[in-house]
Amino acid sequence: MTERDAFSLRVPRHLRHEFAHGAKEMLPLSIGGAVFGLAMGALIASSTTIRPWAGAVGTWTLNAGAAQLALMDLLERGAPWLIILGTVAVVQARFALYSASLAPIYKVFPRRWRIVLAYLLTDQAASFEKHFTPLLPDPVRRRWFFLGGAGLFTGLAAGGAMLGIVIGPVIPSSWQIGFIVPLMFLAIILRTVSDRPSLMAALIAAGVAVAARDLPYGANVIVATVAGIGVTRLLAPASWYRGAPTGEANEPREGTP
Amino acid sequence: MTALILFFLASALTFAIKYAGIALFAGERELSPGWAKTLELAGPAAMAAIAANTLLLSGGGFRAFGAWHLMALAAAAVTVWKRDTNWILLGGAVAFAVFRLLGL
Repeated sequence: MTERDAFSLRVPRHLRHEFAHGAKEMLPLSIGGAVFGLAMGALIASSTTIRPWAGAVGTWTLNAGAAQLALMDLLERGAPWLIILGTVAVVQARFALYSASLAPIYKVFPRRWRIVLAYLLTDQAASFEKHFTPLLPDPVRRRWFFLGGAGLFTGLAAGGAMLGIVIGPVIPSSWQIGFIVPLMFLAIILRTVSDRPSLMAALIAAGVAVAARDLPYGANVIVATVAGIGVTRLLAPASWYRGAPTGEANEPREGTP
Repeated sequence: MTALILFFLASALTFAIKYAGIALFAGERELSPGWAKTLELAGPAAMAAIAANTLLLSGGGFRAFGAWHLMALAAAAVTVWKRDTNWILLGGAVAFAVFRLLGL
């Protein structure tokens, strides 16, 4: 198998099989992603500041549900771009940790594969890839397996959003579809926050976000985030943290698309 | 068009973050313990701030108690039962619909 074959249509059967196998393993999580995407699409359709086609394009290019919700919420509130992009950066910061822990796995892949898999990286994909790596010693088979799993997840999540954009306009405003924003973030927090430093940072950030509600341009979110991180780093004892800075201790946990 | 440009900038930023670890730590280099701890806290802090902002506040003031708050309590209850994102989302959404139907 050469690199030239990698993205050609003449993919050997055993690699097509790995691709399909990866997609099959990811299917249960991908269904959840599709449902989330559907709600996201409905939210785009109900937005007063984002045209549906722009939301559709943005969904595909961004491929990050939590960041997209944060962006849409702040844009709706009239926040300046700097605040919006700063918030997106802090929401997405955990991916720097995921990709650092995946770097030893990806380093044997050709660069274009690393680029594609980085684009497809989600909380679910990161967790999936860490889990299956020991079972797939051949890096060529492994990357096709990853592509099938991560690709299916992104495809169904974004596909769900496209469907949501189409059917969104028929959803009555009385349904208050915006409830999906806090619910989605709560679902991730409730599912993933399991250690004391993360819980402390989350509680401080939530408290500061409410206390600083009068700050202009929706800046309370980014101020609260920095406060949550900063105060926790200052006050939480080292023994509260889970372990080594990289490797298995930082294995990604299932979260959001 | 404004939203689209913002989406493109956010997409570039997101990709840069996703690729940064792969590019920087593919060799012998390792993430320092301090940075690892800081990055680990970024997700919970940012998401809790956004959740509090959208759940508890509305139009610059506090949101009146109702279906939104009860939905959050229902999601927390589902978490105790099934620690799974999809179940929490489903439970929260169903609870919200029920509370809205009840006029809350």
